[in-house]
Amino acid sequence: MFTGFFISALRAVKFSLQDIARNFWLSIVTITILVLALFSINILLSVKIISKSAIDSVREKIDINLYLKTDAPEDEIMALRAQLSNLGLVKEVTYISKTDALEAFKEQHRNNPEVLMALRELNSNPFTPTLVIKPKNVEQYEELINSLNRLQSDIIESKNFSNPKEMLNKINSIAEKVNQAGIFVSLIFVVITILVVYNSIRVAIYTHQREIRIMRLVGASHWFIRAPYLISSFVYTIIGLTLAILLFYPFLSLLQPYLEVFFSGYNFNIVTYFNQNFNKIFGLEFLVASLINIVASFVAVRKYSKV
Amino acid sequence: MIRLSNVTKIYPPDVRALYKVNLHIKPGEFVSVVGQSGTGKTTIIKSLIGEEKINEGKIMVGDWDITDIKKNEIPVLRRQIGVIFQDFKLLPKKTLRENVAFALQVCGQMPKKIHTIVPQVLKVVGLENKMHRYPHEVSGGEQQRAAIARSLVHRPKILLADEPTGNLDSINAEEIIEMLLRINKFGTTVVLVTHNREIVNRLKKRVITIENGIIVGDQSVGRYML
Repeated sequence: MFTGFFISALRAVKFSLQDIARNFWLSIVTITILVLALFSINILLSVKIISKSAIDSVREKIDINLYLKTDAPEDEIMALRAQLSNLGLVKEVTYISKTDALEAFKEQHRNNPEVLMALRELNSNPFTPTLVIKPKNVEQYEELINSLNRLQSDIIESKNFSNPKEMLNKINSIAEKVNQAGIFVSLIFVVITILVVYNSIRVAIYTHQREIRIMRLVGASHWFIRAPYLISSFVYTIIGLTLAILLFYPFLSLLQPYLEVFFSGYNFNIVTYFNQNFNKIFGLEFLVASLINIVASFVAVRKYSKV
Repeated sequence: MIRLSNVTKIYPPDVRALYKVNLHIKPGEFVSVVGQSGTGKTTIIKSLIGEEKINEGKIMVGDWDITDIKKNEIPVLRRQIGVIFQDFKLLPKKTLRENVAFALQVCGQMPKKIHTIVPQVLKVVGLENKMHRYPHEVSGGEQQRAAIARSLVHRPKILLADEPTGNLDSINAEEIIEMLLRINKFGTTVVLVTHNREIVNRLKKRVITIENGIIVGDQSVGRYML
């Protein structure tokens, strides 16, 4: 019995591969549709990832400036920096010395001679050392401000705690709307893609309907007819996904330099993202595409084998 | 071998294809079923292979009552009956050899045995030199011979031929009929559905005449009477 099953399985694989090879152009068309569908899904996914990262990068820009006294000793500044870094709500504390602040200002206004002239007339560095505090979680901004308000130090000149609560709310609101729109568009797109893939498989099998009927008339069982088409669907999925990946990665590599400019200062690499989540992303695509193809084959063969 | 008892078949809404048909075909007989187009000849063939369900009556094939045959039993029935059709019904993307082998593969036959039997059967029908050709690469007569080979390869006791010469010229038609007669000589029951007057009259075999779904004639050495 096992031998019989094994032989039937081998026959199904042989018929499937024969069918793919002997219907070459139909196979090419089916695979092309699959590749385009998967490529589009990956583009959509990239857009989602990029927009999320853009919003996250804006959120990260919200930081708190702690201005220090001009003559504050370096060691006390470093000690305060270490103290702040140890606060649980703080992600990072950057020290900008007054020299660094001056140079940054000159660089920012290098094309503005009037500003530079005004600076020269001052004859001294008007900038103070600053500690720039980045919160770990933008949602805990108020809590962090309260902690800093309780902070006692002789070297602190002023605490710039203009609460960007309103700006944060706006950013969150935009992020929420972008997310909802993204989900809506993604859903429509995914449904369209599923329908396109589903119907392309059905059309491929439709061209075989006469053969399916002949096989039934000769005495082939449903599974004897169905199995090769299911295997073909599986093969189309593997080939389609492989080609989609081979096309998509070069596209990402071309895109990455532009993203680096867009996200300057924020560590974002879309190729790395896809590499890190390779199994999850492409594994899920493989499963979903296989499922759609198999269901489409099943339904189509069932329809045309009612003889 | 084949027994139809009071068989009635009505196609919706009210097209009467067969009406109270009683027919008994003994093992080893060669029977021609004749009648004009639309009289129910093909419906008999379709009923015998489970393609159509009858509305009334009973059909026996051997000892098997196939009147209410289940869907999963139909392939089993078809593996025991050889059928050839007017349009040959060969699988276009398989070679003649693969088409004949297919009939054995659906029965679960071992590859080694198929490898031995198929060339022998193709030799019997004179296609041993063309077994690697596709159906579209051979003539109509050769296609029909391949179809006959496919229908016989699993040694059925019954061979149903539904207008097998309909798409052939007279020379090829003659060859096919000769082949059917040879097959019958070896003990296979042959049911030939045709409206070819010359063939029927030349055969001098049993002729069943159908008109409007009713058997109007059954002669042991018959002629085309319509």
